[in-house]
Order: sequence, then structure tokens, then C-alpha cells
Amino acid sequence: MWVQQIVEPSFFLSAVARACHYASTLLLFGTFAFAIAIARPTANAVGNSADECRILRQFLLRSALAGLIAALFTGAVLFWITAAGVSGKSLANALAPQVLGDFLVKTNFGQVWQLRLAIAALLAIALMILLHRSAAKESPVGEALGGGLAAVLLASLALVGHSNDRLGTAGGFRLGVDMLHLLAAGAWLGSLPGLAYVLTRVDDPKSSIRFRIARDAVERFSTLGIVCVAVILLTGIANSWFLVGSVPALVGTDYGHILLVKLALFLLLLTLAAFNRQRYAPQLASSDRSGAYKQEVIGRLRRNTIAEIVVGLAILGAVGALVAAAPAAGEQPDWPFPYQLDMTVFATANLSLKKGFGIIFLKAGVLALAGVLAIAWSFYHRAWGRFVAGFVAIGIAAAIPARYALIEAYPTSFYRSPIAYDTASIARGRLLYFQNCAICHGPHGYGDGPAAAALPVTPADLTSGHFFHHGEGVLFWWISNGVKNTPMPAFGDRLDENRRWDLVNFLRAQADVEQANVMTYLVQPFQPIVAPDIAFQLHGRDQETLSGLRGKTNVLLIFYSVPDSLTRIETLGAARPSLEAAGLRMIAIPMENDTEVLLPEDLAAQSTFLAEPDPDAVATYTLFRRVPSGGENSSPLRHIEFLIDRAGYLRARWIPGERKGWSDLAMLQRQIDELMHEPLRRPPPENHLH
Amino acid sequence: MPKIKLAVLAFIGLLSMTGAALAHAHLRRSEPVGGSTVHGSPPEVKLWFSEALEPAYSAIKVAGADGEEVDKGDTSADPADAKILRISLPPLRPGTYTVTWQITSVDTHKTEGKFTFKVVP
Repeated sequence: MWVQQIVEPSFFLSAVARACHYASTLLLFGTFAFAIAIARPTANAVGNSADECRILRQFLLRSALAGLIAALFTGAVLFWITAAGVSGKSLANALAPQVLGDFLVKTNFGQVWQLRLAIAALLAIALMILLHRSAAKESPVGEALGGGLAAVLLASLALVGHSNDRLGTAGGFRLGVDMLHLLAAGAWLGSLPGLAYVLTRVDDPKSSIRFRIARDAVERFSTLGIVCVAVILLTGIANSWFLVGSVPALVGTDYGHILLVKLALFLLLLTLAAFNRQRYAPQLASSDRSGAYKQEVIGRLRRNTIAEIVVGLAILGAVGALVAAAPAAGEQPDWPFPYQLDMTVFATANLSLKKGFGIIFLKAGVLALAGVLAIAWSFYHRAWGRFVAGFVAIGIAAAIPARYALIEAYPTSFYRSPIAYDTASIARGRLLYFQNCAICHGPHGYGDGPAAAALPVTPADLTSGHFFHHGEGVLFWWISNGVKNTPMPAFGDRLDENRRWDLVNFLRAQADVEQANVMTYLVQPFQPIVAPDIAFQLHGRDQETLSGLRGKTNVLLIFYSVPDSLTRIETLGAARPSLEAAGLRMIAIPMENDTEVLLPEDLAAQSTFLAEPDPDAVATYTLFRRVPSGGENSSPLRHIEFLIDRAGYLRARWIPGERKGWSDLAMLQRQIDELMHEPLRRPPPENHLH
Repeated sequence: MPKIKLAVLAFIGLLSMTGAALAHAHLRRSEPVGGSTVHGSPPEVKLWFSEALEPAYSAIKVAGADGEEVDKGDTSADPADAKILRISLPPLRPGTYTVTWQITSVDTHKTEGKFTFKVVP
């Protein structure tokens, strides 16, 4: 639970240090933003030489100086804490010059800190000059320079965050998004103290220049705020997508939970800002209000602004925790609800059901449209009752069809297998299946095992298309905890977690075997049957993987035995150069462990596609021989070949004796040509969690 | 003064803590593949991670069945790709070897893990 994580001392310290550093850097940049975007135009409007303008400039420069000093101090503390964490030393030991120096020079974090220190030094000089001169007159160039340096100081924080993974263009984009987010947050939150100051200085609302400055500043801040909120929302959504990536990750991981807290605080901040903008700012500007009334409005604005600062600091606390925590994209999400939405219900429904769904969607659509119109109307006429009613209508409209798409969900529903889909795992899973599952589910998973007849509920057919439509996380839950109201028992206390995932991998292969039943030696329209990964090793060469060849070449995977396959191996060996030129890589794996001994020496020496024995690969791929309906394969399998396309999917299969097939190499050649004519598909998503 | 005592104790406690260590960079694949059997001694162990690494604070160790470290101790990052870490191996005798890795990614998070592979003649 994230609450426990946050109170863990070292995490807490790191998060607080980050939050403080963010806050001071934000204040530094926001002060310049306020000076440039609000204070200067306001001063121009009321007369630059006024004492009050000079006092404001003085305050802003001092505030910037305070921000810089705080940023330097918190930056040093953050550097120290991070150096301790990375070098594995205690905070006291990390103070050694050797430790800090190494960290400064040898890491990305250290190098970014060097850059930021240099910028802070320049900024300090600029601030000193500005402070010296400001009493006399304003300095647009100096402010712009200082603002630019402060912007770099703030934006460079993205270089040490989660967005920095040096991923080329995509990485650059993420970095840019993160930097924009920081700058917009800085311009908004960081200029709040300036606004609060201006509001605090108002005493006599009637004629005072202070009132005019405050009124002007509130109006300009309102515009600045809208721009910043828009940028924060867009970049925040993009950032969440990169680092969280899914609804289950948002509601089911520590990182997601902290992000939700941050979002809630942000909504609170928006509400406060909306009050300022929609209610108080117009009252301040209108001419038919009394001075005393406006004085009261100023008081409310001031209270609200201070509240915004407090909420803003709370948000930065959440940000500190987020930056210190691991992003959700790499974690197993625990689904917190008993139900989930499954939209495929609508796609897989039969015709009469589809008609029913059509009407439901029509109703929902009309209601949603009415809701949108109500919201649009409310904006136009400032009628907030209809605004709320519009959202309620849209909510109900969404709930009407969603009701039909609700399916039962479990905490592990969105787990992904931590074990790769490879032959080693499938072979382990297969063994476990025959030890634990086949008695009821049957040798091929049809639900027809010897014990099935005596059961009150027929065991599930594990090969039906519908069955594997449930995610692997759901299967993992059923295997671990059993299925309610059925004889399916729980295996959670009998098999450890990784073994249960092996079972899931085997079940996936078994379902694919059923799909592959129609496969022949001719390449057929695409079916997503992923070729289980193999770690293979050609004689005398380094180990390779099948998945490592994805995107590079088609593969002919041959399982052979001696002496049956000798002629075939010889033929393929002779044709290898021309087949390779056509875009094929050949890998031959012996079906018996002692094949090598039996292979004629000259053949073993000249063939550069013969791999070392791999019983797991043999056990897995021989599953993919045709399964005759209602019986076992009686003839022993001595040789089988598979054609795997460039994306890593199984596309064709040939067993000698099944027609002429690929014994005619021209036929094999035609299949390769066919695959080469297809556009290169995306490789299967890496199924397992990293 | 108990308050001062408490403050001093808290300060000492603070100084003895280490920084946050939370999982971040994940192992995507490895050579040799975890749990696999290799025919003949592999020249090196190579690991692919999900994030760029800090090589100065990342290390791989390869140990034999007796727990003795057998690698050449030259952990280094791939000059072309900061997500890849490797270490050289001397000729290994047949047996089971354990690869332990402990890495720091560029966002200063630390991760660790291990796997085994088997060498046969």
C-alpha cells in the first residue's frame, strides 16, 4: 500500500527533499513570470514611476532571491540524499568528498546538477545587478534574462525525472512534454505569492493606486492562469499516459494512487481558481459596486490565493512522492473493483442481441447529446444548474450500455505474466497440466478428462476461443483461487506463483494449438498464433533466441530425427544459400538428444543450421502437429517443419507424407515469397511484464 | 533537556539512513537466456534493461555453484546503447552459474535480480 511506502523513512526523506526543491524552483521561475507577464504591464498602465511599482519590483526581486537561495539549499540536500541512495552509503558516510565527487562526475544526475549549478550562479549575478538597480527603474532586459535562466533551472528538472530515458525522438518528445508541464506549473503556482502580496497591500479601495494594481493584476493573472491550466492539463495527460499507461495501473498501483491524490488536489485548486476568475474578478472590475464591497472582494481573493498556495504545496508534496516512486507502467496493478468493463461483449454478440444493443446505444447517444447541449448552453448563459444536469445526463448515458459490459473482475485481472512465453515455460506448464489438470480438463483441454463425467459442472473447454478471451490475469486468479460455484479447486497453496504462470503460458499454447489445427504447408490469411520463443544454439556458435530474429527474417524451424530426416537435411543444406537469399533463416533442432552422434560426420560439419538438442522446444512444438478430432495421433512424429513470419507468428506447417508439400523446394520458396510480399507486421506485444 | 536529546537522536537516525531504493529499470532479456542451457562456454553475459543505466553504479556478478565469483569483473555499458550492460567470462567449466545484477537507472532508482544458466560441453 502506498501509504506504507510513503511513511518509509528513506522514501519520505527523498520525496520531501524533492518537493521542497520543486517548490523553491517553481517560486523562482514563477516570480519572474509574474514580474514579466503581470507586474510590468500593470506598472505601465498605472505609471511606472509610482512608488508602489518600485516597491512591488523590489518585493519580486527579493522573492526571486529567496527562491534561488532555497533552490540552492534544497538542491544540495537532494543531491546529497540521492548520492547516498545510489552509492548505498548512509547519509553521514555519503558526505565524504570522494562519494559526492564521484556522483557529481559519473552520473547523469550529477552532470545535470553541474549544469544547474552553473545556471544558478549566473542567475545569482543577474539578481544582484537587478537588485542594485531596481530601486531606480525597471529593467526589461534583466528580467527577461533572469526569467530565461530560471526557466532553464526549472525545466532541467525533467532531465533527472522518469521521462529521461534517452529514447531518441520519442524520448525527446516525452522530455519536452515534461518540461512544458514544469514551466506551466511554475508560471501559475510560482506567481501566486506575487499575487497574494499585491492583494495584501490594498488598504483604501476608492482611489488608491494599490487597488488599481491589484485589480489589474487579478485580471492579468486570470489570463495567465487559463493558459497555464490548459498546458498543465494537456501535458499532464500525456505524461500520465507515458508513465501509467492504463486505467488498471492508475487505480491499482502505488504510483497511480499518488497520482489520483495529486489529481484530486489539482481539481480543488481549479475550483478555487474558478471562483476567483468567474466570481471575484468580474466583481472587482465592475463599476456599479461600492468601494467597501470591493474591499471585501479583495479580502476573499486574498484568502483564496493563500488557499491556492497551500493546495499547490500539497500538490508538490505528491509530486515529490511521484518522482521518488517507481512509475506504474512497470508494476502489476491490483484491480480494486469486483467488476470491469468488457466492451467486446458488443462485438461478439449474436445478431438479435446486436439489434438490442443498437437500440440501447441509440438511447444512450440521444441522452449524451442532450447532456452536451445542456453544458454548452450553460456556458453561454452562465446557468450552472444546467451545467451539472448536463454532466449527470452524460454519466447516465455512459452507464446505460456499460451495464451490459460489466463482467466479474479479480484483483489479478490485469496482471501480466512475469514469465516469458517460451518453450521452457510451456514445457514446465505442460508437465504441471498433466499432473494437476488433465484429469478433469482432458489431455487436449476439451474438458473431457476421465473425472469429468462425475462432476456436477462440466469442466471448461480450455481451447474455446471464448475461453482465452479472458486475460491471463483472470486465468491466473482462477488457477490460484479456484472458480466460485464450480468444482475447480484452488492451486495457490500447491503451486508457487511462477509455476502458476507457467500453467497460464501452457494454456495459451494449448489454445493456440487448437487454432493452428487448420494450418497447412500453404501460407494462409493471418492468424495471431505467436511462435513460442526458443533459446537455441547452433553447433559451435553463441546462443540466440527466436524472438531476437523478429523483424529481421522469416524462419524455417525444423524438428528432425535420424535416420528419417537425413535426406531432407541434406537437401535443405544444399538449398540453404538460395533460401537465405530469399529471406529465410533455417534452424534445425533434433528430436532426440543423441541425434548428433548418429549424424554422418560430413553432414554435421557442413550444415550451419543444425542446433543443439532442446527437449523443451521439441515438447512444445510437437503440440502443434495436427490434432485429429476425437482421437490421439498414433503414428510417432519423426519430422516436422514450421514457417514463422518476420513478425514472429506461426504461418505454415509441413509434415513429410502430408502430400508433396515442401519436399518440393519450389513450393517452400513460393510460401516465403508470399510472406515477403506481406507488409511487415508489428511483432507480438512482449507478453510478459518487465 | 529531553527535547535536545530527542533532536540529536533524530539527527543521528537521519544520518544513518540510506536513500530511497525502489524498483525501476527492469531486465528485458539476457544472453545467455535465464534458465537455459548453453553448449560450450559463453564469452560474456549481456543484459538488456528497460531504461538507460548509470554504469558507474551498476554491476553484474557471475558465480559458480560453489558461490565463487568467476567473471572477469569488467562490467561495462554498451557504448552504443546505455540500456545494455555486459561482463566478460573466462572459459567456464560445465555446471550451473548464477548471474546477479544490481543496477542504477538514470533516474537514480536501483533494481536487482538474478537468474541461472547451465553450461554443458
